[in-house]
Amino acid sequence: MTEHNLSMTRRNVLLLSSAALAGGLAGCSDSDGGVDEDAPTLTHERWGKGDTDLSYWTSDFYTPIEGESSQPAAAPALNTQHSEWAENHPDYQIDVTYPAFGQWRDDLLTRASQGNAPDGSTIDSSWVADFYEFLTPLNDHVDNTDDFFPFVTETTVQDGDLLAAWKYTGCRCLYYRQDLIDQYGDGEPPRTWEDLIGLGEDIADGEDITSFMFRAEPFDNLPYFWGQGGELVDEEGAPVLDEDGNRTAMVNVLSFIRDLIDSGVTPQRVANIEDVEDLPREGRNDQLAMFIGNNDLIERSFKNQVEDDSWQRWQVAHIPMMEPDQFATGVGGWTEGTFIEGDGNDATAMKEFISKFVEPDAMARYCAATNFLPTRESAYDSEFYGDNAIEYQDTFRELLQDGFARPAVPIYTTIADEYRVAIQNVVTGQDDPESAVDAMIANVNEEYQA
Amino acid sequence: MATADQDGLVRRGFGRVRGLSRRLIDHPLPWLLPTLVALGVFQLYPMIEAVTMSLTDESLIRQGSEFVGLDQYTRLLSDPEFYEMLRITAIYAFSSVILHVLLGLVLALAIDYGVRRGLHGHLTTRVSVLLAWIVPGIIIGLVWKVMLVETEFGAVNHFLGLLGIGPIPFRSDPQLALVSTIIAGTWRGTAFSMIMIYGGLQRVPQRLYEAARVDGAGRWARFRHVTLPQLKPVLFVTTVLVTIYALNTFDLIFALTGGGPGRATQVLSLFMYEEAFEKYALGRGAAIAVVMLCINLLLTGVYLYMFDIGDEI
Repeated sequence: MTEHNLSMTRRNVLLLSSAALAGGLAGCSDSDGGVDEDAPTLTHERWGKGDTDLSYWTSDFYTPIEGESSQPAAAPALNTQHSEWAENHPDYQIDVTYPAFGQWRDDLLTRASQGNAPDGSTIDSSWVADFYEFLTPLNDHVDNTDDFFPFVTETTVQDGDLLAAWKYTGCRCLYYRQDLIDQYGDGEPPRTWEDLIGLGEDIADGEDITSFMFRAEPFDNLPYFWGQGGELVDEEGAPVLDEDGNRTAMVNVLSFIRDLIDSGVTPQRVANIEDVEDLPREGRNDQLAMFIGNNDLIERSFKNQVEDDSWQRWQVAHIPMMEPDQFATGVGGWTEGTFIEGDGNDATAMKEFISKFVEPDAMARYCAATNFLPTRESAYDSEFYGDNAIEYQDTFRELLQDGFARPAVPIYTTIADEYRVAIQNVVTGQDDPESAVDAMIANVNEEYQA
Repeated sequence: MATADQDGLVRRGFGRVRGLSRRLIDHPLPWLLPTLVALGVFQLYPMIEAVTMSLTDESLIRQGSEFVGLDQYTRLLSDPEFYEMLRITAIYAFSSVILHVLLGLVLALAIDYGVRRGLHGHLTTRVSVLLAWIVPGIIIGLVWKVMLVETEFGAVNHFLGLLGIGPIPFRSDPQLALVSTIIAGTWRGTAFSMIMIYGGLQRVPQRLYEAARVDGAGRWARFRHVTLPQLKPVLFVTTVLVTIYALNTFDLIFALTGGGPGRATQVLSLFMYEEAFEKYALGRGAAIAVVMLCINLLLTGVYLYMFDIGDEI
């Protein structure tokens, strides 16, 4: 009898629990499958409350829910942006998926090639070329595309169609210790490679620190090449490194890098510098005088990491070039794109959601909160950006005029990989600049032919 | 009468079913079937897929693919860098096999000696060595990467600095980078060899040692003429498994050097990853995988011949 009662009790508990769970779940939705009126407009997994779902992949960096965000400072700006969209599209909701970063690109490519991509997705600017075939145009939803910096349209416009909305960027620049430049130079940052090596040798002789460092990553070293007018690919996307001017420019870059090692300005261990935090860490520890880094480091790795004002010793400038009249920087960042076909209501709703990311005010709000740089001029003039949104913003805005994005072609992956190998081979003495460039050209061309 | 006939039919029916069941139970197929299905689905099918894919130009960033015959293999075999990677893979694998098996044997003998003599610490030694085996290769790679930082902040260079040595370019010097990967791999993989060989040592009959002692054999003679021959099947299996492990090592090298500097530590598995998952050339990646499979099979055949133990395994 007791056992029977216990059994009944267990069953009752299970039944009650199931009923409570079902009731709870039912409470989240109204009778026709939509979202309850009292539910918040934005949750981590759903933005909007309409009955029609639009699928969207992004990172938790871009969630508007502060408590779930890996970038909480950006959440209020995104909350405002998505709430505006939800208010204007009451019939729709964005069903958000957060793919694992390591698998994101591959999964998205696989899904897109099978015709099964989400309706929209956040896409790294360096991936855009891989998705040209699958992205749908945003032309009718993004105004005044001439307002974007040149590198944006070069990457995202194909045959007159704007295929991705580049929502923010960052750029490479020279970080330098002003006090050391004052002591060992004329107070001005080095403009040419010759200036850099001369100044670096003086600092190396006078101080027990490393004079100049960079990451042996392709993108950090491509501005040297682009600054000389070098081109990696032609308009068809074919590699053109073997053309005379390009080959010479590449040999010049690798010879400069070899000179840095030979002169003692840069140590051989530069071949292993991969992490973006490695160099600012050395800088904060007074072990480094100059380095190439991304614009956001000044806020993230200096201003926010040191308690006193010592970060102000660090200034930013154009990347030194072979000649003083050459300018170039590498730019990155993330874009948004749509895969949904047609021009029906669903496609329009998705494209309007995506295009909001590049509306000047929305872009300004987001960039001011995150220390990233807007990709269009009008965003800098927005009331939401202000004059002091980030340190040295005027210099960065100037640098972006000469911005070069990773070439949006499939062969770039091979070019970048071969360039990294060439740099490391030259730094470690496994190859001389000439033969390293020839090997790079041969491998890239072979890959392209294949 | 009719009932009796029906009963007889039912009995015969049951009898047939019982006979069939008995035959099925006695037959090896039903017992092997789950394993065969698992092997077919999870091992054989992917292998056939890889071989099939290696005969195409399949890419993740292009719709559709074409049959290209042996083009992927021809291209691979005509690439001078492939032979350089093959050389690096061979150095890494050969050094790993020698070091893993040799150090594993030494450790196993030491622990076996400690256990037989009732010495303290043999359990701690076994657990310590096994810890390295338990930790994933990617973590081992990262740990060694931090230890081998080429400034005084790296643990190894810090201690060498106290002795007035260095800093040593463990990862930026091409030769030292390869040596570093071999040492890190050995640090991790020796535990496996030790466990295998220690298990083998437990199966060596004591009477053989006693007989050898009666015949006047010393320690070295007992090791050479009793221990080693008795361990031969275990050493064969260990060598084959360590070779496969070393040839396929990816995670540790990926985390420690990423194949650099340049391509100084680029082994075939890294090359395969780069082709298939960075350049999205699935056909070429599959061709490299098939070449690696052939090398593994070839080396297993060589070991089988060298160890001469076809009847013992």
